Amino acid sequence: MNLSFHLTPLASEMLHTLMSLTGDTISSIDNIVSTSAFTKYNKTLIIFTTDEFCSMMNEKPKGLLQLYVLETETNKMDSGTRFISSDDLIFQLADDLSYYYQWEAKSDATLGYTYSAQEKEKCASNIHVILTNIHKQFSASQPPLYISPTLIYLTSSSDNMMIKNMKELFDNIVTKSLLFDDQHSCYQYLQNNEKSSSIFLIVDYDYDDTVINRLKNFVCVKKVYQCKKSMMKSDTSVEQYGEWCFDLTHDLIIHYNKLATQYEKLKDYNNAKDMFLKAHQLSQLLMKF
Amino acid sequence: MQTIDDIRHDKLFFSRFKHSVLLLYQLGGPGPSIVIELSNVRLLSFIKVFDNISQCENYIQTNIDKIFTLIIYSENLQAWLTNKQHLPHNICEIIIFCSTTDNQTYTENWTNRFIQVKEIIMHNEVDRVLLLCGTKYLKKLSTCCQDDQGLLNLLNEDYRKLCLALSNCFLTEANRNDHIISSSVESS
Repeated sequence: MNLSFHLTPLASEMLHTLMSLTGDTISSIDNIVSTSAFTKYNKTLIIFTTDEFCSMMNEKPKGLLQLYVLETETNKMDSGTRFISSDDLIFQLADDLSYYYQWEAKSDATLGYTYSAQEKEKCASNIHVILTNIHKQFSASQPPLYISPTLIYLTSSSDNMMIKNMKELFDNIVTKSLLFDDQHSCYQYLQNNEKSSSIFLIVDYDYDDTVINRLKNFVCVKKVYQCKKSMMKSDTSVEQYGEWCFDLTHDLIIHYNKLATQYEKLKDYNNAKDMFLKAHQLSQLLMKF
Repeated sequence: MQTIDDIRHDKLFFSRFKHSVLLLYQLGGPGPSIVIELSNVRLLSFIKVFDNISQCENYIQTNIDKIFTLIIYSENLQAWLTNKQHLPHNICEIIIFCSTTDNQTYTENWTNRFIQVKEIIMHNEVDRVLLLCGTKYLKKLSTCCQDDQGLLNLLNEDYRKLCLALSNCFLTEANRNDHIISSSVESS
């Protein structure tokens, strides 16, 4: 309902393909202003629509089984029925189609309608095959996903030994790192580098959740790690630093592994080798935590 | 050569924990059947392997008090969701492996909605990703049993071995790339 103008080219292409695959199972209707339009469908309904139309719908249409909504605000999103991306919404349609076709195929088979059961089962299992082919056409021009990571340390006091030690450990491996001692200059940097970096952010223990949440909201920030105040202040051995050090090292290994495989795909073997070596070094570091 | 079939789950040791790691690879679908080579099966005894979708699903649903990390073949996940509308709630983490790069790109888009999906990898990454998954899993288990020194020692020993195997794995990959570089220099 009212979706046509809100779909990406990929989502739109997927929808059209699904429609031609499933005959009259899907009706795509635009410019609907009232819910009375539903009364002519004497069927079980699964509705995919916009949040605008959803808020206009005062009463639940007869036969409504499920409602999926394309949201405009990120905070209304949930992983089950409300989506921000129209691609996600159409993938949900695809999943529902394959599920219900398979379900109907099973019940047709038990009733002895062998031909219809076979047709429906074929359709259910074909959906992903056909959508994969559409994807091939659209994904050819996609830019590489992964870029070299930057480590940013946000400290509150310049004599935090823990962060100093960590920085020393990682500086040998992760070539790009920065240190800020107040949140505002950090925000400023993130704002200016929003699109060109992949940032792992280590934050000192005395910054509160408002700072952490604001940092997390930058698209370039992959993950934020908060230092825990060390129980043993005099102890400077990295083994005592705990979970967040493990998490950071683990996440960096995953990232370098991704980078390496991406370079291999581009036949850039020199960079692939370097990235694998970094993952190798980090795995040895992982042993200490 | 060792493969997924050679993984022997150490049930006696790992069944005491609430969190389990499962791997599902059922062959016989429309896609290619790929043999997945593993370098360190002996260290992968934390994984319980299934070669059948419904058996795996059954196991997850009958162990409702447990939580699971599921490593699954992309095609098997598609088949699963064609038969069942939802994944069981006690699967907290999913790693998907794919047979082709086209399928990997597709799977990345298709599963974008599922918050449980953590990683989508190619079949030739499975070896090292299982080791990496193992380090995280054992680390988590060891934080849950800080009072049992005996158990902790066993977990730490396995953890150390996994890290070592992992670092060797990456070194092998680096050397393999080095080899490609030097042989292309020779030929040109």
